[in-house]
Amino acid sequence: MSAPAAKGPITRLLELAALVGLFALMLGVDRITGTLPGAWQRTGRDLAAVGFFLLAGTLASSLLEVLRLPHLTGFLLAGIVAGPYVLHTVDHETVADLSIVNSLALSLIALAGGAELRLEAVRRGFRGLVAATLVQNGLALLVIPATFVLARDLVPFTRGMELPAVFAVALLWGVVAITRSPSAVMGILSQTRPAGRLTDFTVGFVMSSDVVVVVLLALVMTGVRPLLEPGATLSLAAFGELGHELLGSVAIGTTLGLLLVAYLRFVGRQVLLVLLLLGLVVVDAIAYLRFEWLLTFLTAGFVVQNFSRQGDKLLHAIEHTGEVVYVIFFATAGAHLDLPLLRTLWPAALLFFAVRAVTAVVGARLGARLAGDPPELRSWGWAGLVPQAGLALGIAAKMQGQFPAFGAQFGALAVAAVALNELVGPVLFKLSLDRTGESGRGSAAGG
Amino acid sequence: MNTLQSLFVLLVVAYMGGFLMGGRGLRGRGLPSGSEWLVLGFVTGPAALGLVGGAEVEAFAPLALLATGWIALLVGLTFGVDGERRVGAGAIGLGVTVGLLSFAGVAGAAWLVLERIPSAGALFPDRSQRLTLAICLGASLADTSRHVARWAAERLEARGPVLDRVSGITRSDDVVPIAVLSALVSLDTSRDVPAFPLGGLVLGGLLGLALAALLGRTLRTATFWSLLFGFSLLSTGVATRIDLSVLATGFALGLLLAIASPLRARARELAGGVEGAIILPALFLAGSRTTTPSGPTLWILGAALLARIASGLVAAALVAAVDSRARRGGPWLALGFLSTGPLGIAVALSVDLRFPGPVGDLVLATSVAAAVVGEFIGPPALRRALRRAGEVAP
Repeated sequence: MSAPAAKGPITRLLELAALVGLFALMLGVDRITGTLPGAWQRTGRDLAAVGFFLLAGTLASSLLEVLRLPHLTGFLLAGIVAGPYVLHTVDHETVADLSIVNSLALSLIALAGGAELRLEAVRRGFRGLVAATLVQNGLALLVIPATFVLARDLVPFTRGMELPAVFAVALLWGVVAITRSPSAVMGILSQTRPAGRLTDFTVGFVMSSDVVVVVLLALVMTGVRPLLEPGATLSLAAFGELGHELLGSVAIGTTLGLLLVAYLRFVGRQVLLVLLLLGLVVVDAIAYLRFEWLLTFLTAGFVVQNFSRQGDKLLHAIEHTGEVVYVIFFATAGAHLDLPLLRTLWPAALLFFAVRAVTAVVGARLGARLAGDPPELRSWGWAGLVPQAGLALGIAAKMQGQFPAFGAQFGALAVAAVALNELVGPVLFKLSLDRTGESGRGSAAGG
Repeated sequence: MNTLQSLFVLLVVAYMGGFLMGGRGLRGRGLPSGSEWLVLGFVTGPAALGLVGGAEVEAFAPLALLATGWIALLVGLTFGVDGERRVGAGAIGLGVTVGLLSFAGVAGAAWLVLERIPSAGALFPDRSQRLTLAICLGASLADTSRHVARWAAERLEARGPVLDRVSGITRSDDVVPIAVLSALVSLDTSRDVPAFPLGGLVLGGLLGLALAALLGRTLRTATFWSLLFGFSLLSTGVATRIDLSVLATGFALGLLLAIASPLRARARELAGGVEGAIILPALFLAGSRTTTPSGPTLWILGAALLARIASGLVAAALVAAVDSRARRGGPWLALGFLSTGPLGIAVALSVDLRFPGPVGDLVLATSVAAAVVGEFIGPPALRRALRRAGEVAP
């Protein structure tokens, strides 16, 4: 995702023609091959889909620059239009096959997120960060569950539930609502290359929110279980496991970070392949050991940035790799968006989206006032907190396993709400960076 | 070894490849054609130690396909160019003729064995299968590795007209196997996809033109990689789906990009920078897919190798007849043409993926054998020829 450069109308027309040509090519190939079976067809479909997403996402994002929309929106739109619910040039099976990119993209995002957390900036904004974390999450856990309970008629699966059970489900929904999207934030940062208080605040908040969400999820799930399952009792064993998981992840992350420092310092070449190794192999090894790999990579990035001089080198390498990986990741995410479901659940999804956004705005103003933050944080501190993506869906999927009685419908509602946050959130965050004048300041500072 | 461990091994191989072939050429490490990676793949593969199992080999088939497309793209991007210097039309014509000689010699020998030796013919009773096998064997052994000339220039520090001639041939004969395979695959309708004669070249050419147009006149590195990877993946995927030759599509994509884009030199430099990280894993995968030929198939394999040597002799005679300066290399020059390398293996890998079973197995085994034999004979012979011509310090 390079910095936007002035492009003439002929270039734009060329890009548009190429985009249309790409869709025509994919549809034409579908018409020729129909539903031919065979592993070779599946391989061809997967490879063509990755290439198509990469090209269509790049071209769409470039065309949307005219409207000052973020590149990420272009990637998502390319995926939505090409995906199984609109033109069907990429089918469900292929979208599922491409999910291998997810762990790679998320590991890069976590590494970059950790490396963007500069100790000095964290120290400077520590007061504001703590105030925002308390106010944002506290407010969201009050307002959003309350809205859920009041608007339960819009949520089909709560019909017939006792009020305590509805309250329990509402609290679970509140936890889903406080998840943020490091991937969307890093995607926008990668495009706009900003610097300033808003950037530091958003990176710090969004990256640390992962840990907050994991802890709150364990707390809420333990607390509400007796309300949802009559025979269940309150067990604190989950917290022991959680502590082990978090501490272990930080320890492994620190070790990984030190190893990365040594590699960057003494070898420094082929960093792309090392990142692939981390994102495709090490991720699975950490998950196998039952540690939180996102936290591990976040810690590793933080260690590299703050305890060595290799931080910029790491960020630079991730930026280069990410430029290709993010396009595929977000386009695949776009193709994954369940549009028919959104059509069914849109009233509830829209309501929860609006309440979550308003809560973020109010929370930002309150938090900033408490901490005495500068005006740009008071006005725009909420914008980077609106996007939602993988973590919310991951938690919803976890709920499906934990609470099979309503988990599937709960997951469907989460998908619908996340779809709105995923589409609108990045636009708002980019707008905030543009309005506060932080866009482009990072690259200027970096020379 | 499970898929994850195999992926780890593959990434390590790519990592090594990046080091060994990164930057300018081979940097004085490894064999000229990378045969050690073929052997390593074979030894760890299902046919030998079985550390990489059959399921993993199949799981990595898309990567193998992708690697063949990328190798072809690099070949197209650098076709008829030696470093920054363009190879003349005469030299290209000579290279194509040498390639055609090798193709015809090997294909003809394989066809003869299939027709004249009953035990060998019995393995491929269908005439069209025999024809496919002969053509594929010819195509996979038609190319002389361009890496051997690079090896001589970089490791032996050779300079002079004989090396220039060899280099020109190795950079031009690539078109023969690619065109042959393109014609064969596009005319074959066994996969229930309509025939598009030479469709691979047309598709790749159109995509190459689109890529050149989108790149424009100013290179932005980020966009360059997204577009190059995107077009490479798209061409490989689409070619596979409509049953066209992946090699032809990749080659035409690279060639048209080189012809139409003002950024061709920078594109060559950037794409060439990842050559090692692609080629070595491809060689490793090819090695791991290789089966051990036995019984009458050895007749076919042996005949193909002998025909390849004979073709080298004819080619050297032809080169000497056309270019008097090349005579200074003497008879060793003929054996110098025996090196086959990544493109030959990519052709065989492509055949193995497109015609799985006896045809693919035998073509891959023959190509691997030719690469290993060529590695022992080709580079030392070329060194002798160059020394004799006074282009290498004694």
